[in-house]
Amino acid sequence: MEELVEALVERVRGEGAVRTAILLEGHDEARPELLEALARRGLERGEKHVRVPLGEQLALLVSSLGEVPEKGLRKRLAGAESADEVNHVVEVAVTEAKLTRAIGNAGAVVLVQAADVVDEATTAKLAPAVEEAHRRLKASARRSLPLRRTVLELLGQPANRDLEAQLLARIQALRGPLVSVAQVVEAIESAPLESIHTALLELASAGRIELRPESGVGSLSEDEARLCPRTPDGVCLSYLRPLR
Amino acid sequence: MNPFDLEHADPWTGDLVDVDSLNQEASDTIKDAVLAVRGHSVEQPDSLRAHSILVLGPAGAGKTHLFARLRRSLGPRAAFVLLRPELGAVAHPRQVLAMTMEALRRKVFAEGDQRQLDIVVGALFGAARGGTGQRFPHMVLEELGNLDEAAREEALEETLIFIENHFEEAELGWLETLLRTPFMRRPTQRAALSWLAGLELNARELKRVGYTERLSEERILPALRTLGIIASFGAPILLVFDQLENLVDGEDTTRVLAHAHLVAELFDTVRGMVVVQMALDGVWQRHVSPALTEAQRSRLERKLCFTRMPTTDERQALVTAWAAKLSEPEPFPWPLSPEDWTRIAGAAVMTPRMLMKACRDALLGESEVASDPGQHLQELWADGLERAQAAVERAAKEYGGVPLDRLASAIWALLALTDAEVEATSGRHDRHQWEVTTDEKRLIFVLQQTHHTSVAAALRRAIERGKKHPVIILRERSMPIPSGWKAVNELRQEVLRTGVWIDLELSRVQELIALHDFLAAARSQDLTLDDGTPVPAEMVRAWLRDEVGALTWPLSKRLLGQPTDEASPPAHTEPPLEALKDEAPALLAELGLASLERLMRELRAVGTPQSRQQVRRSLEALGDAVTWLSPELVYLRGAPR
Repeated sequence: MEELVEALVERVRGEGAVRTAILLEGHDEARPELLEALARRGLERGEKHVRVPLGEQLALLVSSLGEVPEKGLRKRLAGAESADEVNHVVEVAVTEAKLTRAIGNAGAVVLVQAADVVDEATTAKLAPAVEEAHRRLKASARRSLPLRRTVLELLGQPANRDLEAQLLARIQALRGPLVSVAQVVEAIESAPLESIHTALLELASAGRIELRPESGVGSLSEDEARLCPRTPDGVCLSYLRPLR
Repeated sequence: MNPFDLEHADPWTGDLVDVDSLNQEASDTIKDAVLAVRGHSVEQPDSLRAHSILVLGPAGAGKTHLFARLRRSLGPRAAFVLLRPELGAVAHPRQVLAMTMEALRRKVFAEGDQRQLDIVVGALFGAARGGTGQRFPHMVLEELGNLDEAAREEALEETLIFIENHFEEAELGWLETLLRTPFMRRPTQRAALSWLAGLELNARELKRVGYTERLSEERILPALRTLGIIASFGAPILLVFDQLENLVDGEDTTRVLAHAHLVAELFDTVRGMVVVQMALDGVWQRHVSPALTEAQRSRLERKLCFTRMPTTDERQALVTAWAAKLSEPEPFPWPLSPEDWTRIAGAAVMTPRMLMKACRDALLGESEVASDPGQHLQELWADGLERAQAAVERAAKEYGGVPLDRLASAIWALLALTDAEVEATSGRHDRHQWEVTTDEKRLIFVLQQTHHTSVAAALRRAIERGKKHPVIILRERSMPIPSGWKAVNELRQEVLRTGVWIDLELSRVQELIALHDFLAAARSQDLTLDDGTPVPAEMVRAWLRDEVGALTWPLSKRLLGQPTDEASPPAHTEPPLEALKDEAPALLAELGLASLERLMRELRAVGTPQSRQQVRRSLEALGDAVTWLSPELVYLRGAPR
């Protein structure tokens, strides 16, 4: 029985979905037990199919392709039996913030991982910056080329992915629900402090970490405070919370 | 109401501006724990257990707000208790029992007349009669109140047997008194509730409730256990320790460990209680958690929740909800400008308190925002004095005076502002005696006890200890020693031969309580400048010394053995009756202590508005009868109250 279940799971996982009647052909008597065993092994049962759960398929699809158009999604999910159940799976993933809707390169609505969109706060910052950059570019077309800092800084430097990855690895290594920013920063030797602070703020904007204001009773040493980024108002951000 | 003035959440407020999604995880965790306990006693009494939840977050992120939110959402389904550590004092079970019983006397809703205690007791009676106890507990009580005495006794007997059968750890003697309280006459009920709370009663009160002494030490924890069990039938005790950062005392971990021991004990033995601890995340991480043993950590940090920063949507929802409370709100982002909103929406960190400050400043405009930190602290101090006045008056009404622990902590806070070396000399729990060393050693005793034998015992200790060093005794003037307490009066005379006896005036007690709470708020980062940044605790200490002049108060000088102009308490100067006919003085005569701001507000409300200068001038005409505690705060001595 165990071997049979193993073989059925392998088949479903390999094909994404198999019609129940075909999958269990010749095992009519053991059908209830087999279906229960397959469910225990993490497979989903639709009206006509046994399948890899639609949510799992969707997550895999988005992570391998980067973005997946919402239109026509049903055809891409093996064993999807109705538009309603596909919509439900999408809504669950969006509600749980696993996926989010974005405007793709072709201008259509696509599903992407939540970390891959520009968050609302950055969007709010970008809108006036884009307008300002546009004004300056227009002016420069009439007179002379724009200064690097006046335009590129308005639109933000491209994120330093390596540095962000290093920071995330360090945060993970330190473990714990609350991590000291000074401990994270002091371990990164390859980048200037300013870049590290920028990368930390980027990670916060992308929803990977939450930076938290210092709440000690004067117990942060000067050295520790120097390593921490600050808000524009000067509030020291001394702890962070990994979000996912 | 201007919601932007409510920068510090009032945990007991019924008028709450809330965005439900903010910190929902923490509130759901606590709510789930309460609902899991509720009714568990009926279904599975053997598996009833306590819950422990730790909520960490930076200042102004909404920890105290959670308490108010849970009160609103759970209503009568939980009995809410809020404890904040006293500076210099050590946490102990008697204090928890006292605070819990005091909280049970609070109303469930401000507008109703049901007390939390009525829900707890009514639900238990209901459960013992075969119901779950959760439905209409007040009606059960009402029904019992209408029965004749014999029938009521029978119901009480049945309830005691019901508890005895299911919970062998219950303290039945204590429970019996508790169950009788709803049917007692008011003065007896007040005395009984004080006894149940483990407080000291005077001889008359003891006689009234039929006991000869206060609840003994060995009965305190059993009483708490009993309370945890019986409350679980209808309104489980939700015990919230707030501002736990105030436990940190430099390198000294005594208070942290005492708290940890207490919470571990409650978690292990008080079934049905939901214990929630709240603290600043950085302080807990750096100072509290490392001091705990593994066993303590497994209990105190059993379930960990964090308050989190509001998302952009939540920031918008907060601004909209606050603005809606104003009389003529304008469309979002008002009161913020679009530029302000762009900055705020994009800020990496924005606590609700920072956001509220930004809105308030935008609403007031630059010119009206206090830019001088000193002026800002002055305003906060005036507010603190008003709160202290209300608290002292409430304590006088309920207990005859401020509870011993509270007054002792306040004295400790004053002493800690000085350069003197201060060391507690009393027992592990009752920190109300200190050795204070400046040029010489002095012994200070806070004598706030209410029973003559306790007062006499404390005085004997003082006399014994005073053989080596000068002794100073402090007692509230509103708790005079009756002439009938012969032994106490003789002992007092003996103390006076070599020592000093200070009767604390009402205004002094208010100042002390305000000073204590001001320092505690500073340590919790709840005192903030107009830009939203917390005022450093050291700056607050310096400000209290330099600007409030706490060290030049006659009381401070007497405690430190310095010469003072006030050899004895000043005689009350009666205010000239003629002057009291003016509106402002007449109002002050009613209030006793008030800020100019409050006087102006009250005068406006009764249709006789006056400018700040007019109010000040008419009060100055009262001469020595008024004392200016600060440029904004005035106290009328001998006011007919």
